[in-house]
Amino acid sequence: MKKIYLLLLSILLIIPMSVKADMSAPYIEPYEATVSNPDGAIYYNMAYSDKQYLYKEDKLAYGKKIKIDYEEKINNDYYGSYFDENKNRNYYIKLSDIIRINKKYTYDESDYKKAKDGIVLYPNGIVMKSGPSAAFDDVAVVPGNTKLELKQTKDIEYNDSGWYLTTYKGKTGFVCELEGAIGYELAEENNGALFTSTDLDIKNEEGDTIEVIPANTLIEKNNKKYDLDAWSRSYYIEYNGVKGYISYLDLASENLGKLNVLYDNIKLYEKGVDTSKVLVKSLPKNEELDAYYSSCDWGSCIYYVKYKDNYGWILKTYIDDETETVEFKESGDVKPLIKKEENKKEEKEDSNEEEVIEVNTLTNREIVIYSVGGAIILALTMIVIIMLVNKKKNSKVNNNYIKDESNHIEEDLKESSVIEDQDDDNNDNTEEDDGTM
Amino acid sequence: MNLRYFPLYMLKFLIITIIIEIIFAFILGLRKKELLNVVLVNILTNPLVVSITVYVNITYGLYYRKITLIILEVLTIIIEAFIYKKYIKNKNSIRLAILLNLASFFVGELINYL
Repeated sequence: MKKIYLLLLSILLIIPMSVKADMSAPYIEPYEATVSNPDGAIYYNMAYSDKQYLYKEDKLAYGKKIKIDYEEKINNDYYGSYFDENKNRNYYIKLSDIIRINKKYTYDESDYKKAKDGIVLYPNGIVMKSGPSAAFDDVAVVPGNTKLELKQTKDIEYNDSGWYLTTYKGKTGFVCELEGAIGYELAEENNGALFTSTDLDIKNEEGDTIEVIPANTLIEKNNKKYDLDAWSRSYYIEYNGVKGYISYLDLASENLGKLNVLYDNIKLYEKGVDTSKVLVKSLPKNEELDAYYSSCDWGSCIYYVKYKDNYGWILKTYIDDETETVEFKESGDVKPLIKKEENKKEEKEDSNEEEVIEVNTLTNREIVIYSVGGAIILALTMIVIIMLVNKKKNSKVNNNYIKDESNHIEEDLKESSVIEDQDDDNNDNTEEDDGTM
Repeated sequence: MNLRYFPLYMLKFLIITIIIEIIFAFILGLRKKELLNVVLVNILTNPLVVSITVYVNITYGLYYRKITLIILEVLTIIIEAFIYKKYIKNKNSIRLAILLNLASFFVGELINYL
């Protein structure tokens, strides 16, 4: 009885710990939604081969009700996952095609702190929502070029959902920075001149190419540039009167210095690492080149250099994963860069609307699957550890038991020897008594 | 919950479960060396329950998540009872496993509700 009271008391004491957790298992709260796109909403199937792909499966009719189990961000677009009972599987649907039913997002503004200042980049503006999801109601339309103060909850350091709380003309709601909707002025130290390593498309918010910047073109420092969300790997720029988005993977930043060629057969390319366009087949070993721009991604770097009268790109590679083929030396006396003639623009074919969307990043589902695998390995390891720990404990207990037993035996022997001596003494006394009598 | 940080959530749940179960195990009279077994058993079972349940949630929905959770909790009790019976000097290992798991389950649900 006493233990039960102690148990109940412990439950009451633990409540003030204010720790939020679900000991049984966490769950993602689902919600009811309806298709709000008058043309219907495409739903996708996730397929796994060498990569993950979303395949168009079919369309849900306008007004169709579904239950979204959880949301997932795939290639900078938000999708909701729902379970189709007829087909007995999960499908993905764009959140922009559905609207949440009877929803009201409650929050306390005092829980939010300023994260950053941004500017709306979409010319037609962006929609402010009543909650941090495309499935919530519209609050207002924030026009293009509007500057916003973006807030996020205080308990997180990094907001990877892309949704921020903001206020526009007295109305408070949530806006999403994803897909280049909101841009951020680059800090002075990051706002240097850029150099294109290849023909670079400038795209509008719908992904259509509106202009092409030729390879080896300098984007001056004073060209306006905006950084975007962490997932986009793009900038928003204004170049020769054209505004749009460019991939920064194909951009090199200014980095003057001398580059030393350490091995034979290092090639000089015309455009980045486009191996079809070689200017010099083999640069001389130990040649020192004037380097002007560099672009690095995951340890792989390309450098824009001058060799004799040729300007082009060389790639830093590794031999045996350790030894670099070129070595960058920071030093002065680099000859000024002479701009090359602009290359002719290549015509780009219009691409049809893709029904297949390639998933490039690790998805939430993959993370969970890997976690299950990790938990299985951990469980198997723990079985072994439990057996080993208790084996040690048992052998210790056995050794102690044996010691105790031997001590008891010794004591018994001593006692019995003492008793025998006493008996012998008694016998002797008895015999003496008999003698005297 | 942001699934991007799911492994961190798993670690958090595990630590809190262990704390709660140790407290209750101590109250129930388990000694220090027996408490170590309680910790190890929870490291064995808790991540599996959490990860499998979430996987079922995101693949098949909330309804199947509940069924999976019940099945996994029962299996957890059976496994823990087996280990307690083998390595802990306790007359009723099943009762011990049930009590400890119920404690962490209900305390967790109560805290989550609050």
